[in-house]
Amino acid sequence: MSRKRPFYLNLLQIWLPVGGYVSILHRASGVLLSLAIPALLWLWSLSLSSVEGFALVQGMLRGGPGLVLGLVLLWAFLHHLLAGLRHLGFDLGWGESRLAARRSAWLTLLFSLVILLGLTLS
Amino acid sequence: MRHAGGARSGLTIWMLQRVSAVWMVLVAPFVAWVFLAGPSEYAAWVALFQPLYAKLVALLTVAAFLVHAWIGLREVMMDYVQIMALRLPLLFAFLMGGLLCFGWAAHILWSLV
Repeated sequence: MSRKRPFYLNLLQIWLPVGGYVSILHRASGVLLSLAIPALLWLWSLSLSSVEGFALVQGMLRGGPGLVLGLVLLWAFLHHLLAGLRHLGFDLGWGESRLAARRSAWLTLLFSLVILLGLTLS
Repeated sequence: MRHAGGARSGLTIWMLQRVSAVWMVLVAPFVAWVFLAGPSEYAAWVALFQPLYAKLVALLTVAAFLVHAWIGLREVMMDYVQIMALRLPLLFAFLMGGLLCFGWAAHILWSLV
């Protein structure tokens, strides 16, 4: 590999197929969820520690920055779950044609938001 | 040269990523039920994790989450952290962090009264 190849990866200027964005968000949501593990364990521990701790966690998730963070993490989880199911489908050989893959990529983006909205309102 | 890196470790990791994913997919409906229609009071919330099988399922789910996270972080770092002297300590730190989290989860579950 001595030949110098053109290198052009400015994501603000190149246009990726929709699957590319789903893939980037799959990674970003995965990193976000990974880094959230200690915080989630802390919340879990607090909620199980005492009646007061339980009420504290409930209060945190009901509104303000806690709710916003919770919704971001919920979106990350939903997107990661759907994108992951899409990949398990590819492992089984489902939906590998370009058209089917683009359709499932759009559905991943759409449904993660639709389910998020549904869960938020319920 | 024998075993420069373990030719099959990649396949094991690939498989572990999928096994942990499938386990979490199977548990997800139950977690969704807990949040949507599950216990809204402290006593019932604690009671949910009292039985041994509930503790085991919860701990296995935490383990699956941690294993899945570590493999995912490894994958991302293989792309973006090209300096080995940086990547390997990071991988090791995340591994230790994961083990700590696993111990913490076990402690949370088994210290319930």
